[in-house]
Amino acid sequence: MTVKPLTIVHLFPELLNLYGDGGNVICLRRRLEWRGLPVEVQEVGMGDAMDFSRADIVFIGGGADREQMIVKDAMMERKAELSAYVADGGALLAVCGGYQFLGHSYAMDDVVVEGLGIIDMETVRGEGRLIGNAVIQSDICDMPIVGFENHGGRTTLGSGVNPLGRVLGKTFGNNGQDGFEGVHQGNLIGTYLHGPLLPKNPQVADWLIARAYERRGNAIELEPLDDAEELAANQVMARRLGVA
Amino acid sequence: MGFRSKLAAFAGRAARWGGETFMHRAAGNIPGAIALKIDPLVLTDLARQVDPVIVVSGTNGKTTTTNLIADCLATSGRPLVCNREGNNLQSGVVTALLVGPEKGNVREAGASSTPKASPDSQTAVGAAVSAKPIVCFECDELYTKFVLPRVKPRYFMLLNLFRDQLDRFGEIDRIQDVIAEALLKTPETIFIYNGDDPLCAAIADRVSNRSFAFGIKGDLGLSADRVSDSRFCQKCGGVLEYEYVHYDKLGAYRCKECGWGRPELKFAAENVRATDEGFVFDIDGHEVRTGQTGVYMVYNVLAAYAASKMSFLVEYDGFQKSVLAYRPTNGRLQVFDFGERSVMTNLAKNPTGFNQNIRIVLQEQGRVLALFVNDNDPDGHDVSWFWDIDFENWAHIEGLKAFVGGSRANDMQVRLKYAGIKAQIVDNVAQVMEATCAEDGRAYIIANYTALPEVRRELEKLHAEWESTGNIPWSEQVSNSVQDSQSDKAQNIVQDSNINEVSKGNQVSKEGN
Repeated sequence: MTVKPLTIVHLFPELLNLYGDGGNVICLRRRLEWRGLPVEVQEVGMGDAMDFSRADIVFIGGGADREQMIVKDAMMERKAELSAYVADGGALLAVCGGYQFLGHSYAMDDVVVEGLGIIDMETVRGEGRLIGNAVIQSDICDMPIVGFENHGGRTTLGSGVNPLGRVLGKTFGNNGQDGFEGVHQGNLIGTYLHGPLLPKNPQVADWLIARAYERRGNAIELEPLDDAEELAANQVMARRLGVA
Repeated sequence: MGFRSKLAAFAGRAARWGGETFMHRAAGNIPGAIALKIDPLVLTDLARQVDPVIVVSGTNGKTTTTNLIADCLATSGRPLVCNREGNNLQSGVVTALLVGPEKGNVREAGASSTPKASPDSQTAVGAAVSAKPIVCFECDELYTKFVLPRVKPRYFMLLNLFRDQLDRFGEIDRIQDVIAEALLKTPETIFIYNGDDPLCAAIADRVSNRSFAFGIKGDLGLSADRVSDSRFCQKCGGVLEYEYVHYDKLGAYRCKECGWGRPELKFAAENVRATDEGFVFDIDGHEVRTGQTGVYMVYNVLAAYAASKMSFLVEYDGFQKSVLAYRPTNGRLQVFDFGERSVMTNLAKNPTGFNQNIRIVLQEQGRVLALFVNDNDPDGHDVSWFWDIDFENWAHIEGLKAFVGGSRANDMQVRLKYAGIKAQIVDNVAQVMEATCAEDGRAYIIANYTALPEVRRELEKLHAEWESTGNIPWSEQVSNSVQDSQSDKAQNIVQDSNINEVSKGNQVSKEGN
């Protein structure tokens, strides 16, 4: 059976790569290659046209304020297409600043900036930054999800919007108040956790890959990989944070 | 000095004496920290008693460049104060001033440029006090806001700004703000900076201090690293166009939109060429030899040249001799010789530093590599930057044997796996040497901030053992558990599942800054 390559669209890799976010794309690509599944990575830069019709997984990383300012207009110009892609069940992962873009609005310094409005959520500026190793429990996988959070914004989900997970230990999560972290809606995941997210949480990576194949209508059984090293790294951090 | 600062200085010196006498420890930060507790402004008073020539800051190369400049300045024969060990917070700077001029640095001008300690150097220091001691400090980027206004150096040198320890520093923009503010508070200080770095050049644009840029002219023909901090205009956010890039974002740049670009270089290294013994470049009609490998050494030596020249205290011959005589003892590009085998250690604490090390290993065709990475406070707790390093360039080394250690060994092991490199977790250097005892040649050990001193201490011990007994100080049984580090591309089978947490023994206590 020849399978059409899975296309990963990486938005603005030059600007939105504050915390090794590109590692998420390396991870997805490798996990497909290791299974002998063809994969194509499409990097979309500032002036480039975006074609979501061929996208199977879209990835948006985070940037420093100055970089986010530079991309925000380019991002807004694609609002309709991105919304349509998500509404059609397109798999999407957004981290940190990329996650904040998904809501109605987010704060940049003291300015409130309009977001993509794909998710019913809002981000405001809070006192100080929420920084540290983080661990959450999500219902998309059995293992705890580990990562590192570092954000000044406080995000609140609208009522009825599903978070990615519940914080464990001393993790701050979306706003340091309600105990929720990230968002999970359909085949979309948004989160403050970087690290980057996927390499130490291979189940999340495979969840995205599986959703992408499902949407195409050729759901395939993903061959299990030997994830001993990834799982060990996950476990070491989860234990350090008091989660066995 | 007021009573309070005298008391502060006295208490700090007493603490140093106590530490050295009873605990056999070098001064470090503690005497300065005690003095600052008693008088938070003690630095201002201490700095009045010296001639503050230069303060050096920047993400990478501070310690090496500061030591190079100090060696050059020492050729003037004047007493010299320097925080050579890299204790670069305010407490480290105060400690260096409390400790006072280095022994053995005071000589007749024009005497041999090799510093040597003589039994009567103390008296020599005493005799030379009429000339105020000259000062050369390295300073942490964020601490420039305290150190510059209090020390008021003649020159402030900024080597580069890369992404480093983001969870501690916040974003690079903030570091720029802090440095610009520090310069605005010391308008008399002359700013010497790396003009090849847009982030440094942007600071020069913001301040009114007299400023001079240094940089490398001409294309070195090196391939660009994958991830760069910012190749966008600091003025308008447009895309920067590069005529050439030396590494990361350092090179000849110009904004397509607004025309902002690399400033005129007051100190330009030209005609840079690689030799077996480091790089050679031309400047002001001189041929300068760096004596050490790594393109970043061109910048460090060029910076030392600029400082030497601006200080009017150093002759060219003294500068070149000092540079060639420079032998790192702090683990940076340090070589430990064990007969058939040797070990080179180096510091890398951010993607740019690692990428430079990757090039050195490729250039020297190294096959045994070990990375020790901790996440203690001085290292930063966030290790996501591992993924900005181009480890993929190592995946093609034939017969590569890779090892990882430190409190974040597991993270590094995963990173290497996704670069196509299978790495084994180890507790220490001896295990690396044991596991590769069938190899000859050099092992390369790259460690981050708090991991390096531990590696260095172990190697010093191993080396002393080798020198005294003549025996290789690790077990030489060939274990069959080590295979080549190229992971099987499709299979991705892991032989022994290393689910053990890295042993606590390797966690290094916090030291340095």
